[in-house]
Amino acid sequence: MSAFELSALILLGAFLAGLLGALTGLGGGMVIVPLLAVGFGVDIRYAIGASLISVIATSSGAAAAYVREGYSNIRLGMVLEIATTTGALVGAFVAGLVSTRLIAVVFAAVLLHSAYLSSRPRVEHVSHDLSDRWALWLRLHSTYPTAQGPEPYGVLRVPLGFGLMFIAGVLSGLLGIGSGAVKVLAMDHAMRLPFKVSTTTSNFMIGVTAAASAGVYLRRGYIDPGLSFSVMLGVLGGALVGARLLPVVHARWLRILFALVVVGLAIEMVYKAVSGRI
Amino acid sequence: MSPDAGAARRDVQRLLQLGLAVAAGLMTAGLGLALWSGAPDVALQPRGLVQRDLPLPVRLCGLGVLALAATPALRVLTLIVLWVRERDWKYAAVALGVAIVLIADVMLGGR
Repeated sequence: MSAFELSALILLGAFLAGLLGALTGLGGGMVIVPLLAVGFGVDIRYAIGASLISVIATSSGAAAAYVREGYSNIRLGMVLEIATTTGALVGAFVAGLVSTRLIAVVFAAVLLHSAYLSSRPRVEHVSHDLSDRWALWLRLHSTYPTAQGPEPYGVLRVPLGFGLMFIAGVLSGLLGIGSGAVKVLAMDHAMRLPFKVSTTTSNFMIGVTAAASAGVYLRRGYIDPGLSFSVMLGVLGGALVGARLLPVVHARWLRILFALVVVGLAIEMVYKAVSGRI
Repeated sequence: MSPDAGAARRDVQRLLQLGLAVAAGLMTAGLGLALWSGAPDVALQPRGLVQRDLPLPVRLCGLGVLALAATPALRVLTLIVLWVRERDWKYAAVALGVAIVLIADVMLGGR
């Protein structure tokens, strides 16, 4: 297979990963790393490097729109970025110290957990006017646009959210994913933010978290320009098409499809890691 | 004016879009040049993105990757400036903390 053919296949795979990631709301990174490592035999560290670049691109594109619309809470995002960037730095360092087999097994565990989370129904937990003392001191409460006009919301359990964000950062640095699922879990479940604010603020933060991890991968030479470009272009294209398809496709079938793909990839990753082929 | 207000939101939005456009432009130029000149593909191996010995198309793609990776960091710097301008020292310090971690990444990342 020529380099051009390989690039075209990676581009197609990345497009499908971006499409699936956008339709399920979990991002393309979750699929692209196992796809490159298992499907194309790319060293998992290069796969993670390329994934991080695509995560920055999709996050920056989506964040630009959400920031303008007034959904993202910029102050909250910036406070939590201290935790995610520190975690990302730790995760990226650990990735350079442990074996690729261990990374693959951890990735498989995160894939399975994401499949489980995506299969559960989403329940909104909003604190409309309550905020804890940290949130009050940091002025984290805000409003978000609704059909009835700006809706106020409070922020609870800031230290717990901060700790969960550190874990999200570690996973991002270790595995090259945006960790959007953990970030949304922290803001939606722990901090009681409206779901729309959680997802858009998570998106706003993902770019900086991924940039923190990418800094380490860049310095170590694990970001290949050609591979990153193909992956970024494919994931970005898939994400754009996915965003347009989202209102017209059936969410339940998508979640089932995503769960099947993710479980299949996780089993394949564990098998290859155990048999020493990753 | 808070960075959650309209004008600041527009600044952040424009910066993110500009970063994406510059990165996409550089990468597309690199890809176009590679297709036009038939530049050989470079095998995966740890290396810098803009080394002198790399073919020009790969260096352009590398510069695009760097521009993309720098975009979120520039967004943090933009917010520092906005918060300093409105004398919101608490949030200027928070944003500075994020910037320091990002700088530490680049400084310590090669070790």
